[in-house]
Amino acid sequence: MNPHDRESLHAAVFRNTAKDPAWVGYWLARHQQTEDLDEEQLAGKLGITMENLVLVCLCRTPRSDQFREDLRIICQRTGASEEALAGMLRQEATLLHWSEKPPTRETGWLMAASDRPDETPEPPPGDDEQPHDK
Amino acid sequence: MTAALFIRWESLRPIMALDPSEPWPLIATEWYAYHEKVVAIVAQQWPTVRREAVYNAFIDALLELGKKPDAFDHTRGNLVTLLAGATSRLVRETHRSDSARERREEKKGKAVVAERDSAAREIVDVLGDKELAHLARAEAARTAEERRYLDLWERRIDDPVQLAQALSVEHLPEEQQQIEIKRMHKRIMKRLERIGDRLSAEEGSP
Repeated sequence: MNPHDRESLHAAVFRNTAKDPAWVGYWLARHQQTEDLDEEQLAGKLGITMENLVLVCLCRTPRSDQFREDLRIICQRTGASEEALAGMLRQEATLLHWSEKPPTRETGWLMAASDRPDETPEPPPGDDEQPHDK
Repeated sequence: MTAALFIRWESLRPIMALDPSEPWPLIATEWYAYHEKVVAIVAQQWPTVRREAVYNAFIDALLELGKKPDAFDHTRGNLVTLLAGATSRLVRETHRSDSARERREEKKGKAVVAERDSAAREIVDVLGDKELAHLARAEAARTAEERRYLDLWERRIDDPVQLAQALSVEHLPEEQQQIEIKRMHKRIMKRLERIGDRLSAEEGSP
C-alpha cells in the first residue's frame, strides 16, 4: 500500500471511530480536542507508532465490569501504555459526565471552594472518587 | 470508580459466541488486518469509485460487524467474503445516493439552462421580421465570433466542432474549447434576456 493510500485508510479509521463511544477511537478523539493534540502527538503520549494508534482506535471501549482486563488486552496487543490510556479514558469519561450533568450546589468540593474566595478551588477528585464523596 | 460511566454505551446483552481466539476488545482490530484483501476485491467491483470512498466503506463495515461478531458464521464462508460483501453494500449505497444527487443537480442545471435558452429564443422569434430583430442581434452579438455563435444558435446548430470554429478556438484542447463555448453561450443568453426584459418594460409603459 502506498503512503497516500495508507494515510487515507488511517484517516477513515480516526474519522469513523470518533463517531461512536463504543470504540476507543471516540475517547481518543475527544482527548485530542481537550488537549489540542494531533494524531502523532497522541501516539507519542501512548508510546506507540501511528500504525498502532490505528489499532488502538479500533479496539472496543473497555467494559465497566472488566475495565482492567480489557485495558490490559488492548495494551498488550497494541503496545500502548496502560497508564497513559487509562488516564485518557477516565479523563474524557469524566469530562463527558460533567458536561452532561454540571455539578450542583450540593456538590461538596465545589461548595467548599465557593466558601473560601481567597483560596484556589481544590482539584477534581481522583479516579476512584465521585465528586459528591468529598 | 468511574467505571459506571462506561455502562452508558455498553450493550448489556450477553456476549454472543465468537471465535475464542479473538478477545472481545480486539475483534475489529484483528479483522482490520484483512483490509488489503477486502479493498482489492471491492475496488475491482467498483472500479470508478474513488479509493478513499472504498476505505471509508471498509472501516464502516468493519465497525458495524465488529459490534455484532456473532454475524460471522465460520461454517458459512470466510471473513474476507463477509467483510467484502458488507463493504460493497456500503459502497453501493453511497454511490447510489451520490449518483442520484448528481443527476438531480444536473437535471436542475439543465432545466435552468433550457429555461433561459427558451426565453432567449422567444425574444428573437417574436421579433421575427421586424426591424428591431436586426438591432437586437447587433446588441447581443458585438464581435465576429459572437455573431457567428448567435447565427449557429438561431439555426439550432450545437455541433461542438462548428461552434469551436465559430469561436476560433478549434486549436485549443477539447476541454478548453468546451469552456470557451459555454462562456460564449452564457454571455449571449444573458444579453438576449436583458434585451427581452427591456422590451417587456417598454411595452408595458404608457
